[in-house]
Amino acid sequence: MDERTLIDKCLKGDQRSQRELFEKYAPKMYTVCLRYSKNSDEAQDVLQETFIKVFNKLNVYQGNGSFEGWIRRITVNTALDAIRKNLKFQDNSTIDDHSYRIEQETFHADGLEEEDLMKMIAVMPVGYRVVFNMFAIEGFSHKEIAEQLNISENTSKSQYSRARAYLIQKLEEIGFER
Amino acid sequence: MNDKDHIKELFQKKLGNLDTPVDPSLWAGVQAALPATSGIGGLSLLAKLAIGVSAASVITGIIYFTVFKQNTEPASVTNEKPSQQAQTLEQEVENKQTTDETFGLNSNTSNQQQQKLLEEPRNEAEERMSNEFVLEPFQAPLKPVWEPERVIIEPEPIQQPAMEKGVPEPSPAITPIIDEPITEDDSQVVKIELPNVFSPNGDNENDFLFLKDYDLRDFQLVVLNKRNQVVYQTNDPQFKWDGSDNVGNPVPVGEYYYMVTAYDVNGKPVNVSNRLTIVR
Repeated sequence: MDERTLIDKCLKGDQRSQRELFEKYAPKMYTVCLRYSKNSDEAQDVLQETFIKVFNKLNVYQGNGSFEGWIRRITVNTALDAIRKNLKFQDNSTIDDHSYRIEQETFHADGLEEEDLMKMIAVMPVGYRVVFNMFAIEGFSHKEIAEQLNISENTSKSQYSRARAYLIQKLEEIGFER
Repeated sequence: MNDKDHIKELFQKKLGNLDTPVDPSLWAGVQAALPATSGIGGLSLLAKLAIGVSAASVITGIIYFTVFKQNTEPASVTNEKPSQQAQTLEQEVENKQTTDETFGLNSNTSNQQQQKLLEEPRNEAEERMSNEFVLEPFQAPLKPVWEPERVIIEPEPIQQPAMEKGVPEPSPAITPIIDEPITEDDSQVVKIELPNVFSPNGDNENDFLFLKDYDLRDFQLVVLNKRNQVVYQTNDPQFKWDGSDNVGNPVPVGEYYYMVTAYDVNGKPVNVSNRLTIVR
């Protein structure tokens, strides 16, 4: 089934197609959610909310531009909403801050795994994390980020460069050679 | 500036299109929030009507049966029954839609008002089912609604000794710090330390549940889920649990309960029980 057919069927309320669409895009979008969220619980909430929005707004999707890009935008916006909403309750401790029993063999210099990178992003302060995600991975411009987050363009730039410095340091710590 | 491109490229390349497995129960949560109602969405209006009417008529029959049979039972009890039966019947009805016609015909003869009244427990059951979707893994809709009574009524036998000796319930507030382990007698017995949270997600941080080296005899550890089902059990004090059940599937995240029974070198009993939170 091609994408357009799938979308049309979803619009008609066909549950099998809705599920198919979910299963097709959820894993990728879950990674996005994880990058923005402070833990996997929050990421799951964001993912769930994202897909509820996707299905409710499906009739708005015009078919110009990639469908995945459209879903990704919704995902990012939902994640940003969640961050804004949670900001006042923000408690920056995550479960792994309290890892009192760390295994001996933590990181290996050889072979940099995706999970390692995810981990680095996850432990960044929320400000760095959001700007870094938006700029480096989602490819927003600093101008767009500034508008989205209601910060100045310069703040976005400086947050990004700090995030980058932080990541470079982390990469060096684990012995990753550039 | 070369640097900058490199970091950006690295993260974009590695993470831009990375898939992370999604807990299938999330779909149920999404589905429950969608306007198209669950279960019979794909059927025609006529079929829906037939199912609805036939379900109602079947329930009517059951109610009649229940009321006549158990006249003495209080109303609340009879109310509870049909709502549960309604579910199983609904599933049956869905399974054999072809035979529904006959039920549908029967319903014409039954009292209209009664049908209306009896729709209610069914709706309630549906609501409960859709609530259930959010919380339960996929098989949930096929099973009867989770009955919390059952959990209370069937205490796990192993839990019994710990309770009798007056071990207090750990506080419901779960914080990711080591709770002081609850031991029987502080002064004499070995204090064993076991975390109350771990995250078996393969990130090399806090991925296993294990004990420090203690000299223990007759060691037993049991981990129970909220339904008092044993998800992990071992007699090896050197155990290293990765959060998977006895067939190797990762157990769902959430709250668990563990109990340790053992004897120290002096033959003094060591009993520790605590909540255990699994996150990934």
